Amino acid sequence: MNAPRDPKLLYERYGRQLLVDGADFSGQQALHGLAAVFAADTSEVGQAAAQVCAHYLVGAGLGRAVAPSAWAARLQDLDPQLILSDNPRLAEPPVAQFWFAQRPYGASVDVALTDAAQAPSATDLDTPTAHTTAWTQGATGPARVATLRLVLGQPATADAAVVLGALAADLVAADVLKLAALPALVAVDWSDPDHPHIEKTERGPQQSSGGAAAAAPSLLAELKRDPQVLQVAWSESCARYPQEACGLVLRDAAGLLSVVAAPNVQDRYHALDPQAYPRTARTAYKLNERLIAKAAEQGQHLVAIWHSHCDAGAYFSAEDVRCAAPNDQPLYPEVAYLVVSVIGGAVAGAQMYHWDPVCRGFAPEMQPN
Amino acid sequence: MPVQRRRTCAAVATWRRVGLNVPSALALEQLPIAIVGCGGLGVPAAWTLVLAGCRRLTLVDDDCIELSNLHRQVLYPHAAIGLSKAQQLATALQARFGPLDIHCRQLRVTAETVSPALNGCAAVVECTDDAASKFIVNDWLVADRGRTGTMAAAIGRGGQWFTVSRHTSCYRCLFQQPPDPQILATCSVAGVLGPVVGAVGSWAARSLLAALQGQPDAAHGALVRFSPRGLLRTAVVRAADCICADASYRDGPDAPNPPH
Amino acid sequence: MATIKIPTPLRKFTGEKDSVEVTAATVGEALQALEAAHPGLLAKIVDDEGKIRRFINVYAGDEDVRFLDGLQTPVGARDEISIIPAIAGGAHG
Repeated sequence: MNAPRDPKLLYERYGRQLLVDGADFSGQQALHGLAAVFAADTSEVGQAAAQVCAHYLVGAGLGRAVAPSAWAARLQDLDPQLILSDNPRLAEPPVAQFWFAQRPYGASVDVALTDAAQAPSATDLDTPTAHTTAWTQGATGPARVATLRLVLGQPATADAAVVLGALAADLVAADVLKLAALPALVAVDWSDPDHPHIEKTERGPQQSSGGAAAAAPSLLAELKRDPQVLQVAWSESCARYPQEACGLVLRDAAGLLSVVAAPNVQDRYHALDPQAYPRTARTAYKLNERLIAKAAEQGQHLVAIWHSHCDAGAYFSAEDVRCAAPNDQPLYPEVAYLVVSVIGGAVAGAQMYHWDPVCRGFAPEMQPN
Repeated sequence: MPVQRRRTCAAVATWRRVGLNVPSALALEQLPIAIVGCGGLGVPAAWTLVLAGCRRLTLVDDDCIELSNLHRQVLYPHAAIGLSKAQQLATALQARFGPLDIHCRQLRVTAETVSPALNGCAAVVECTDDAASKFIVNDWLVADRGRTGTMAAAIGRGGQWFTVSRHTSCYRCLFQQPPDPQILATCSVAGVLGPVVGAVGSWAARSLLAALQGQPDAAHGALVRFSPRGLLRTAVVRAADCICADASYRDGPDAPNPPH
Repeated sequence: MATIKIPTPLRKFTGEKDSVEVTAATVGEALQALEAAHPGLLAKIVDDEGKIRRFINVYAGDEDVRFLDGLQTPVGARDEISIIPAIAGGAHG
């Protein structure tokens, strides 16, 4: 175990990383205490991915690394404090071991993370290859084992190495920094260009088989199931054109969705104070927020706010962002926003947006293909 | 086993129409590609392009390396703190991959500098953390028709990328104008995890390569977002009122290919 | 006693209570009483000049007080004052 790093240096070097939600100094020190062994099959992608992974983990604050002497010195260039070796036997726990390999479907990496308290015997740390064999045989060792698959539909070439290596580094860094526990299996599926997705199987007492869904179910798709429901928003948007229309999407206790139109009171505010409200209903909307409380009294729960854009796309505009999340703080983080594009008086499209707390922005909803 | 679908997409048709073969690794060697921003996204993007066989790069960045960059800009040695990112990225790539044809432009892309900075480049990966720069590059791609480009961004534990060509919607169809900088979180306030930026920058470069090689790609005319929740793809339709909807851009002849 | 309805994002100031009872003659007095009971809350509702913030609405009953007498709007004993984050936006940046 390395001596802890100087906190001032930690802050100067890893400040941007320490700002990430959930990261802290203790996680950063834990990464400094970790050793990692980077190994790969003889494929170009495997060799390159091991290098990439090593660079990103050392960059993130890894304390000790075991890597082939052909490129290990570059890691020391990146972090002069790094303790370097080319002998896997010297990697005492806590240790992360990586094995990168080209596969018929793309490429993969096996990761074994051995915590300090559960040190394997010296014979277990023979060579990374021997260790890999033990994992694939399903040995129930002290290590937590994970597999990351990059599915491309064909054997991966060298240019896939950066994605694979960086994602492998992310798995281990996120675990040690206590941002996300090491999952059992991650399949990053890039084989269908229309539907890239990630399937994750968490480890734990009840290992789910299907893996976590890549995204929440689409609210817009649910609304579209009953054409009558959205018709309210469509006809109101057309009727109000060339002014913006607005309203609420509500869910009742039985789970049924309904769409209601609300008067656009923007012009009233504009007339009262044109300086504070420079826009008219032509390019802005505002609704009486008391409607939410009134709906709640009827057992109707607000799930989305909808409005139309006249002769403009169904994008979430800068004004929409400014009003929905002033100073980057969402006013209704749990509520979605539906934007309806009306061009020349007819509905041209619609898009649903959700607040993404990770990216701190509004993300369009993924539609089922 | 899922098999990648080999669709003949519009880009292939265009390459053929203008008498070019669909670019292979050999052609990539000749193709001049620019990387705008040599930071957390630019480094993995460049690394990926060179691993794919690209040999001609233009690296654009006016910034110098700082200690707080090294956790994510992992091709820079500690000893290079204070030196030019563009120059140091060129040095790091040459040291690892042998002689490459690299031009460094130590400048920031603005409406005035974009044209001379990217002149002669067939494709661009936009990797700065400056939203305005993405719009400038997008507008250059649209104005200088026939060019292909990918805009990448990352923050916290996620990121996104979008590939623009003449055959797809553009960045302005998605975001009409740059967001107010005051409400935009940047890495300096929201933080960013190094390996995540690595994956996003590399994915962006791979998307550009796929579009250049006429292969179907998830981010071609679509926003792909990566976060701990997974991958999210949103196809973006060309907006009727967008600059890229102009018929002479959409249907007109391609710009001449830069000289080899 | 007038009742002030507190929106979810501000309930961290009121120990998660969704409404607070105050004795006041005007909306402004009601907000002062709210501040006295739950310090820090007022700054979220009005700016340094004492004006209601752009993205916050204060309703007396069903009407935005901006259309009444603002913070001088009188309140009766049974009135309900609602503080609600604004719902607004618009096309073109």
